[in-house]
Parts: sequence; C-alpha cells; structure tokens
Amino acid sequence: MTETLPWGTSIAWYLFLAGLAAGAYATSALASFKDFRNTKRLQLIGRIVALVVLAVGLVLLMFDASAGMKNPGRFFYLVSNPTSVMSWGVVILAIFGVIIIVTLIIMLLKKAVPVWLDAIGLLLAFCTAGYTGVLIGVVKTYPFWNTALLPVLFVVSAFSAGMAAVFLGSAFFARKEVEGLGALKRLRLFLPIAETLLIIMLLLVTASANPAAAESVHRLIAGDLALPFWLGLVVIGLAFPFLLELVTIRVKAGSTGAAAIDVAGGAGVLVGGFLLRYLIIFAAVPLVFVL
Amino acid sequence: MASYGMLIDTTKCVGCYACRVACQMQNSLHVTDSFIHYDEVEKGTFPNVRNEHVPLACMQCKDAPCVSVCPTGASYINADGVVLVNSERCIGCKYCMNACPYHARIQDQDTGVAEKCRFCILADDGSVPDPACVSTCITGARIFGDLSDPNSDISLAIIKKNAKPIAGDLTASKVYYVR
Ligand code: SF4
Repeated sequence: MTETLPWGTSIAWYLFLAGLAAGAYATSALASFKDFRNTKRLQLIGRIVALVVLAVGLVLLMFDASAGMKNPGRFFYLVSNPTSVMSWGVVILAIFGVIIIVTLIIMLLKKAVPVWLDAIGLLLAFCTAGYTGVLIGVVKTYPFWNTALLPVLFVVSAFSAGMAAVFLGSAFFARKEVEGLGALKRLRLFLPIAETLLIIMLLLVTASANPAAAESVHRLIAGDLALPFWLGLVVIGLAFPFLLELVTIRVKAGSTGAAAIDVAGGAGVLVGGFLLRYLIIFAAVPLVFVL
Repeated sequence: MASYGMLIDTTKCVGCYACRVACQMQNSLHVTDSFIHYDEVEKGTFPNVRNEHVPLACMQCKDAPCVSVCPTGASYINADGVVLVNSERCIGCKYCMNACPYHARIQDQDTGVAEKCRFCILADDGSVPDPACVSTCITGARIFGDLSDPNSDISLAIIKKNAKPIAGDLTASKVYYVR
C-alpha cells in the first residue's frame, strides 16, 4: 500500500527546530552555571537562537494545520485533550517560550539570570526535546516510529544541534568567550557517539520487532533513502564533526583555528540534526493489518 | 445508548465499489476523496485462488487512537459509540491521520478538516437509517446495527458467521469481518 504520509517536510523542520531551540537554550543555561560573567554574549546568542528557531518552527506547524489557519481561533482548543501528546507539547512550549523571553529580557537589561530560573528552563528544554520524540513515538501506525528510543535519540540530537548552533554563532560574535567552556565543548566527542549508538539501537530494535519497520530500516540503509542517510546523516552529520573534533582536540580554544572548527563541524551537526528527523519521518512504513 | 457497529462479509463482496460511490454522494465528497478504500488479498492456493476484496473504513474503535491523540477535542465518541469529528474544532493537524492504523481519515480539500466515516449519523433525524454503504450494497454484504442488543441482526450474524475485527486486537474495533 503506497499511501502518502500525513506528515511531511514541514513537520520534520518543526521537530528539528524545536529540538534546536531546546539545545541552544540548554547550552546557554549550562554556560551560565559554569561561568556567568565571561560568557554573556554566548548566552545571549543561545537564547536568541532558541527564540527565533522556536518561533519559525511554530509558524511552520501552524501553516501545516490548514483548518486552523482558516480559523485561527481554533488554535485555542489545542490544550483540550490531556491524553494527547500534542496538547502536552503546546503547554510545554508555551512555558518554555515564556522562560526564553524572560531570561532574554533579563540579560538585555544587563542583570543576572537567577540560577533557579535557568534550572527550570533547562528542565523545560529537556521536556521540549523529549516531547518531539514522544509525539511521533506513540504513533502505532508506523512501527518504525513506535519506540521509546525515539525521545532519547531526539534529546541527544537536540542538545548536539543546539550546542553546535551556539558555538557556531559564537565563532563570529563571541570567540573569546568559548575559552572557558572546554568541558562543554568536550561533549562534542561524546554526543555523536551516543547518537550513533542510539541510531544503531533504533534500527536493530525496530527491524527485529516488525516487518513494516524492517522495511523502513531497509529503505534507510540500502533503499531509496540510503544516500541522504549515509552521506548526509552518517558522514556529514556524525562522522565529520566527530573526527574534526578528535584531530583538532589540541587547538587552542578562542583561536581562529578553533573558530573555523566550530563553524565547519557545527554546520555538519546541524545538517545531520535536520536529516535525522527528515529521514525518520519519511522512512515511515505503515503497519500491515489485512492479512 | 446504543453501541453501533457493522459487519462486512467479504465472501459476499464482489468489489463493485458501489458502497464507495454511495458514501461519496451521501457525504458530498470530492470524486478523488473517499471514506472507504479497498485492500485486495489473494486467498487460497493454486488452482483454487480468489481475489478477496476487503472494504475498509473507520472501525469505530471503542479505544479510538484518533480520539486519544486529537489535541483539540475535535475527535470524540458520541453516546452511541460512534467516533465523530467536530468540524468546528478541528485545526487539521493530521495527528489523527497518523494515529489511525487503518488509514481511515482523509483531509477535506476545502476545509482542511480531517474527516472520516461517521456511520451516516449526520443524516439521523431521530430514527436510525442504515448508512448509505449498507443500503446500497448489491449483495447484502454489509449489516449495520446495535452491538449492545444481543438480538439485533448484527449481533446474531456476528455469532452465526463467526465475524472478527480485521486486525485482531490492534484496536477495539466495532466493525466485524467475515472472510
Ligand atoms: S486533524 Fe483535527 S480531528 Fe485530527 S487530531 Fe488534529 S484537530 Fe483532531
């Protein structure tokens, strides 16, 4: 059965951008905990990125909901169903959005963001990234999506993408501030490994659980989606940033070389982050139920 | 307080698609849109094979996944167990279309609302007529009725013909198939 999928490219963008917002905010908050004084521009970059990409993602989502665009008042019904992950998502996003804006305003007023506020923000960033995985993870129609691994994978990938975006921006506007954040940057060795392991687990677990999911996996590794999967996600999105980080580990933070690495590796991570969602959405193969 | 359901006897179905046309007319659907679609399954082993036509539509699940995922409350189950969509609330997010394992939902081209089979309940004026697909079926392959009444035609037919939901316990379907 070849059905067109209800969700497509704009949902993939939305899942990516919401995760990116969460990761960018998380990077800001962690930088703030680590060294508030000397990372102010970097934090500002993170919060601005978070706000902008979250807004863009939500606009995409609204345009995809055509009956709502024709009657915008209906968007207020969105929080009607406590059993719907989407209703939960709207609540999470609303609170997260407010926290981003409030902390941004505090920073622009040149005041210190209270640690408790950033801690709550960090929690909501985590929920935001996780919910984008739960949203499609609860859908039984597509066995490839229907796993508890998806939220975990999306959280790791979101953090990775958000951190890449913040360091990428900082390479241009706050190069010196990155110096004190060595430990955070070191995560760039750990996150691609974790993400790769999670992807391998996702492929193995779903492929062995269900024939429809096995077909999804086949499409990714050897079928119509193999090129973007191997070249885009695996090589550009995971291997390249990881190896770049590994071979340049001794480059002095804050130098021009380090900034170039942040830009090149960061761009790779962002491409990979988007492709991960895109490929998972489009690899969906529906459950066969008429036997 | 009824619990409406349907029985579809694929051994009687000849695959004429009259039910789909009747449904499209009853619900004023575009020619390219339809609440009913068909799966074809090869049955038997050579040389005794036949093509089984399996008409599919909303299974009116008691545990409808479309209802549990719908964020706006547009999707709901009425007092008679019919899964309905309030077209004044739906935003067209298509979450329900993903959640329904039977692909029973379509998005209305004009309104963007995610519609589906409603057992023709909107034509209901207090009396309960047979849905258009049932009354139009040339071979009598479809029976509509109240599952909560053990003496209704449908309840008796389900027992007599040993009818079963199409996908086992995938959902608590109220559409039963004889195959
Ligand atoms: S498309 Fe409409 S009926 Fe379906 S889940 Fe979204 S709001 Fe509910």
